[in-house]
Amino acid sequence: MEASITLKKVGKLIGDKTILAGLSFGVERGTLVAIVGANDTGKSTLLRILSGFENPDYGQVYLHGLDMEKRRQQTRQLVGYAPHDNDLDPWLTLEQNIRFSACLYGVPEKDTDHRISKFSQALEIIPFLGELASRVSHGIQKKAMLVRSLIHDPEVLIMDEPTGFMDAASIRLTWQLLKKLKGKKSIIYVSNSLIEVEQAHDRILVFQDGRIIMDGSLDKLLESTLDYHQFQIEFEDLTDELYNSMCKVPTVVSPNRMDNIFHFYGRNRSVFFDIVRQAADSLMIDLNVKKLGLRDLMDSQFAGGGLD
Amino acid sequence: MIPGLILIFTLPLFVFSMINLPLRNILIQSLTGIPFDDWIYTGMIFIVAAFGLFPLIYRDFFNLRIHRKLLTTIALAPYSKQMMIAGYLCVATLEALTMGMIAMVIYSFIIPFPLTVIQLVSMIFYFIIFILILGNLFITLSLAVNSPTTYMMFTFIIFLLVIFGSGLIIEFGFFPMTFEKVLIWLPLAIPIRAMHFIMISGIIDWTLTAISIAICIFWSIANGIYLKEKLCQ
Repeated sequence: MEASITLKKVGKLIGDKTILAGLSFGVERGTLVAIVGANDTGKSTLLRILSGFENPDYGQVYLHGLDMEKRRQQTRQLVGYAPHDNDLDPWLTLEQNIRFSACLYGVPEKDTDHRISKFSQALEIIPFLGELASRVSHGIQKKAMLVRSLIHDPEVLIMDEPTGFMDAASIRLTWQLLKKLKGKKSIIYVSNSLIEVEQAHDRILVFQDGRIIMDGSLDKLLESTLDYHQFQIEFEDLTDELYNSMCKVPTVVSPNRMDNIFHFYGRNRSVFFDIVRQAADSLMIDLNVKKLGLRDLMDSQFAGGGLD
Repeated sequence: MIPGLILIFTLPLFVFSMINLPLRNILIQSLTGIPFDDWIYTGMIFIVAAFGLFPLIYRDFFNLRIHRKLLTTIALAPYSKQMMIAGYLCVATLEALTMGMIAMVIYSFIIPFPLTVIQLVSMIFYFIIFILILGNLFITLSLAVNSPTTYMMFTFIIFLLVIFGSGLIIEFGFFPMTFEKVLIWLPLAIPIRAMHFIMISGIIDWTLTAISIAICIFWSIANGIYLKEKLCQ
């Protein structure tokens, strides 16, 4: 497939701190790429660079083969950007905000009307279009920002927390729209909602300290968890003595406790029986076992180092 | 809520009441012999326009910028920063011109219109240059300052300068000589001096006019570069 975005050794420094450290990767046209990682790891900075809002300190970014620094005006026409925080003009209505953006990009009136109607309908914000941006909820503002970023029909859509502040129904509508757009547009987004990322991606980039430490589909990323499971056992009375003895079981990994709940990781379900043997005299009142997901992978104890 | 439209109509009346009414009892005529009412007429129009120009630039370049609103989106649009500055200045000039026209209509009911057609045309020409220079000054200030308190203090200083230190109301000859030498070369004062020269003598001062236009152009370019720098782009 053809490349939509290509980064070549892109770096960004703020003072002495390295925000992005020589990133090189490509994004294929029409794909849905999720970027995840701990806070302050450079995810949003990367989005700002891809949207053209910031320049890298070194390296090149190419959009549809065009150098973003040298072909600024053409590449900006290709990008739609919805930042994390609300940046709508508070004294304009949602529709005025969207139309203003359409004017900036020279979108013909007929197309503007059509797109406002189409996307607002899809996101169910038509009743709010006449409201001042400062008077509607954050979730509605976020949806209006999404419509605004799509108003000039960009080839690449860049979003920072696309469903931030949204209720469950709005999240569903937003993803329905984005999944429809996938294939026609390259979509790159940053999200801390890992459940959404698990459900909506062609590819996931895991960020740590300005570097990509994992790259691939969810299944590929979870290969590194080596079939680990997460266990949670609730005891009627979890004494310190019992907790310490269970921690010493060799097959138990990263144990911790919360009141009477003992939490740990193990390579397979049989680890549970090792614990049962150890705690045979104590009363267990609840048990939860699940395979590791993206959230566990992202936990700082495992990212980069893995469970072993 | 006070609608902005009411202020547009009351502002010229306030300027007239606060500046013209008391000062006409102190100053009878200008140092060049022009009756004070005639001398102050253009000054009042310029001051009203300066007040009208300020909110637009404050809103977009300071208020929305420090609150990380709209300016981001505008900055991402496929236009150069120079184009952005020029666009804002054009809109600001049109707004200021409209306010100046409204002030002229209001004053026509209060005092006799003192200008000939040539003087009116030259006033509009230098008015545009004055507004462009003042607009650039406000843009630089809005980009350079990040604290609302500091911004307000600077704004008060600029308005004091526009009203009393640019030659619109108080002639430079009334200031101590060393102070006068500084004030006459302030960018805001240059187009006003050129306008007064043509009104008094009927001759265009090409040097002052050229300097004024050059200041407009170079300041707009500098603001474009500064905006780019400020947005890290």
